[in-house]
Amino acid sequence: MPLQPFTASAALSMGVELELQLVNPTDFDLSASATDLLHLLARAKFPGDVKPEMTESMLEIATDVHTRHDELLAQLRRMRDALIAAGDRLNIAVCGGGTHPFQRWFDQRIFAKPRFEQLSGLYGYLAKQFTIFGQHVHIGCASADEALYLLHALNGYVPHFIALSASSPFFQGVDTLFDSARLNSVFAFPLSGRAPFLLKWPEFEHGYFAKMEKTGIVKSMKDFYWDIRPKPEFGTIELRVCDTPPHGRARGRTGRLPAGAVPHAAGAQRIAAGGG
Amino acid sequence: MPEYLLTILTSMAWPAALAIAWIAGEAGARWLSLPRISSYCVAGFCMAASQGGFLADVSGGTVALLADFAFALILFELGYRINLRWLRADPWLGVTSVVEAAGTFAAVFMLARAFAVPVVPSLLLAALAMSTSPAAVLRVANELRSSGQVTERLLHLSAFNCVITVVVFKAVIGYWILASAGSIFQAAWSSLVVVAVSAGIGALFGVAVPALLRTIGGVDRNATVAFAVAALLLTALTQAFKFSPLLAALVFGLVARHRRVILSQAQRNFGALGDLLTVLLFVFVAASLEWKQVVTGTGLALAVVAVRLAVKMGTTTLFARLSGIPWRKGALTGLAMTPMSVFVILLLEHTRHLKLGALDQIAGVAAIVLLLEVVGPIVTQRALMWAGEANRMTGR
Repeated sequence: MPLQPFTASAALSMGVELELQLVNPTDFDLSASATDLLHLLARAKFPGDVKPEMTESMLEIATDVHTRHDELLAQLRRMRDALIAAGDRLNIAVCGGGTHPFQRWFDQRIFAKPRFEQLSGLYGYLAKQFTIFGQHVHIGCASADEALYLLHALNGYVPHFIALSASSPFFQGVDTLFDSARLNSVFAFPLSGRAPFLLKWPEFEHGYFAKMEKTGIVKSMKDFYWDIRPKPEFGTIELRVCDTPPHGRARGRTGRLPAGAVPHAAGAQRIAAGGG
Repeated sequence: MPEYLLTILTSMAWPAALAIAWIAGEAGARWLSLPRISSYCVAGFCMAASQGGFLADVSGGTVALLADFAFALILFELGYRINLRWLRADPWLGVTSVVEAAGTFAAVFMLARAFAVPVVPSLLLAALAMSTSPAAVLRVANELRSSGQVTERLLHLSAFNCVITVVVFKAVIGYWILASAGSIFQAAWSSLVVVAVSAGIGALFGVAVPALLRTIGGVDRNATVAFAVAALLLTALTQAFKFSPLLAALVFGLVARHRRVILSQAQRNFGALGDLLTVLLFVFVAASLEWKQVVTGTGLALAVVAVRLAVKMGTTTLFARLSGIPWRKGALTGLAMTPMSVFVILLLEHTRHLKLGALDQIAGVAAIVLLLEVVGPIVTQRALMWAGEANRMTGR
């Protein structure tokens, strides 16, 4: 499947995706409950988008496209309240944080969906170790080239984003002495890391993506686990290095960070292009 | 010399029985994918003296105490996994529990009367039929490492209907004593007081043990042993004073949970100690059955099993959507609630001192116990697997 064309979207619009932990309130270990919770959520209107993730003990929620921070935060709160209410009915607790402190990765069950099962076959145990919880921030870009430029301009801020959102010090029952241990599980994947330094979309599409597609490993942009990756179907770039914050207020705040950095980077682009 | 040899052989009987049962369990699990406890039961039943085996009469004595201790550990763990706040968040769970228990009671009572069983034994049978054996469901759930709504609801409903069973059973015993002996004191003592004091002792342990652990420190290191020792003490204490070790252990777990001492993953089943005692428990329970008793009540037993299953499945299915789960998971929850054996046998064992001869009098119980002892865990295992809640290896 060739790369989808880049859909232009309003510059600096934003949306947030959060991966959340489903926890058993008895021993606070992860609970394989995504199917049950999704079933209940499907019966009423959910104030946002909700979908399964790699393993049964994860859930991903996503906001609509926003241009204002307070509205984004308000929607995140509504989603949180709806999730917690549904979780209470099923005896499931919903929890933030980038890693679960003591879950055992081999106890996790892959969510029964063709894509996840295919990934599990491809990556073996890495798929189960991918039971980690990130916050992904989408920033709207007016064109594909602007998206690539912004992506590389923001790459310089990746350490800042990691530092400011870090909330995964414990992993598999051990104090890692990292503040964000989650990213080490991402780095295990061969297609993680930085996007190739290409600034023109056709170059990226035909020169890079098409070549990768031929290997048979890559089918869509979803198969790259880069720190920041373009998302052509949304017309955004997606910042993926942040841990899911432990509580709602921090969620809104980290969501705002790239939004703060973006105009700075966008301005730099205009300067670079000689536009002033 | 032969006498000397006989003594040695007698003292070897239980350890040998445990070894045989354990091997049977592993073989059944490996080649037939059976839950281990089903195989323990078959082995125990075959080895009992009444079937011509070498295990002598098992009632009373040390083995009975150990079986009680084994069950107390299981009930403690079950109680510990019960979240009472769930009843508030989802009132339909409570409704399901009450309706399935009451429905089973009524249906089985009417059925027993139709089989011309006298009133009091019918009431006792109906009371026993309400319960779902926590030993079987918890062992199977832990063996499959299952998690999800069917598992959670199964454990909660099982705990609730056991409490209801103990209370109703003791009430019927009280009524029976009143009717036969006419002693109000003895009647009240055997029912109300036993229930209240057992629960009270359990609650006391539930407050005292976590408090003690906090004082000593090192909760994560000490919790397993401390709770196991406390359960042993509790069993011995309640058994000595003829209270209900079952209710006490369940309440102990329930209260300890709400004192917020967290048992970690590794301590599920109380580790190897729990595994060993489970072999003993299931062999003990099966060995207490006699072929004679089993054969006499087969017709009634099959009818009771069918009616009980129908009522439980019907109720859990009926309230499934209201409770936030799909019909299918509701039905599977009811199906998974099939086992009832261990709880019933130990409950009857505790009324032995009243000299009521309950196991002989309540027609059909022995047959039901044997049938569900072997088949029950298999049904639970399949239900959890069909619900997609068992943890199997994926990706291959």
